[in-house]
Amino acid sequence: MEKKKMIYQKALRQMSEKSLSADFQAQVMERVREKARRRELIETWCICITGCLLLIGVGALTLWACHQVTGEIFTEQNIYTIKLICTFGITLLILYIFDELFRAPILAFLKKIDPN
Amino acid sequence: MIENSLIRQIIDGATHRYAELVQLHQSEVFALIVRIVGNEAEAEELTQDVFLKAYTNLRQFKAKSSFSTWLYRIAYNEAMSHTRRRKEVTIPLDERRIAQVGEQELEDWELSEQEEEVERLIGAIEVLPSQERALITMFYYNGFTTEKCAEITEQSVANIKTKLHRIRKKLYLMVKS
Repeated sequence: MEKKKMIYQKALRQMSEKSLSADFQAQVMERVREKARRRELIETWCICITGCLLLIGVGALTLWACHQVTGEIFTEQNIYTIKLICTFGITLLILYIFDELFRAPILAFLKKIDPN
Repeated sequence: MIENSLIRQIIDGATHRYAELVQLHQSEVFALIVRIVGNEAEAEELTQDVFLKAYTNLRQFKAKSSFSTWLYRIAYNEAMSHTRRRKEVTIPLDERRIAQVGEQELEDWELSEQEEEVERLIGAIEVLPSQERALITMFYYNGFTTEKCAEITEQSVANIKTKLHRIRKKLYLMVKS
């Protein structure tokens, strides 16, 4: 550092010698974790809503296709097909939600049982 | 770079590893903010906000500049908006008087190591506009290059150099008057 810079450096150093409080990092990380939790929750909901919309779309498309083929919508066969598609979609959604919501606590529980 | 791979891991879900980034930069970021805002409690609160904001926007970090430059840009902008919200008391100086300060007398004064001069200089720095205080802190305290200062403040290098030169003259006048 050039000698002429020393005077500024000295003054700036003397302006504040306080350092951050001891639990600063813990406080930041608490806020960060909260943010991450919230973000995950929002992402989960976004995916759920998208999933539901897709399901409705597929349902509507199936109805339309059935109507094109049979000329009717609510025949026994058509209702059966729609039920099948909806059950498949809803099962996938439930599995996804279950994974998102319970993955962390299950992993924590498993880690508690066997830390290795 | 190790820092970039750490950032990748944090983005991919290893939130706990963000503590390493905080640990690495917290003191320097706080040092800059406290000198801009002048209040230690407010500075600590702002430093927390900076790290939270950096975490929230981490996916937008494209590694075009270093992580520290990106982080300091957030810190600088946060501190600036904070100071804009409160009314700053600054001492206006005649531009002609600043221009009249000779290079030699300025450099002679800068070599002085008397405590009295340092005390006066602290007083002068405290009443500088926050943008100027930020600039001299980054350059003289944090030891950043003019290029890095330019990136952080989003100004040209030539502009930074001119401003730094002007601030030195301004401080000299304030100390001497």
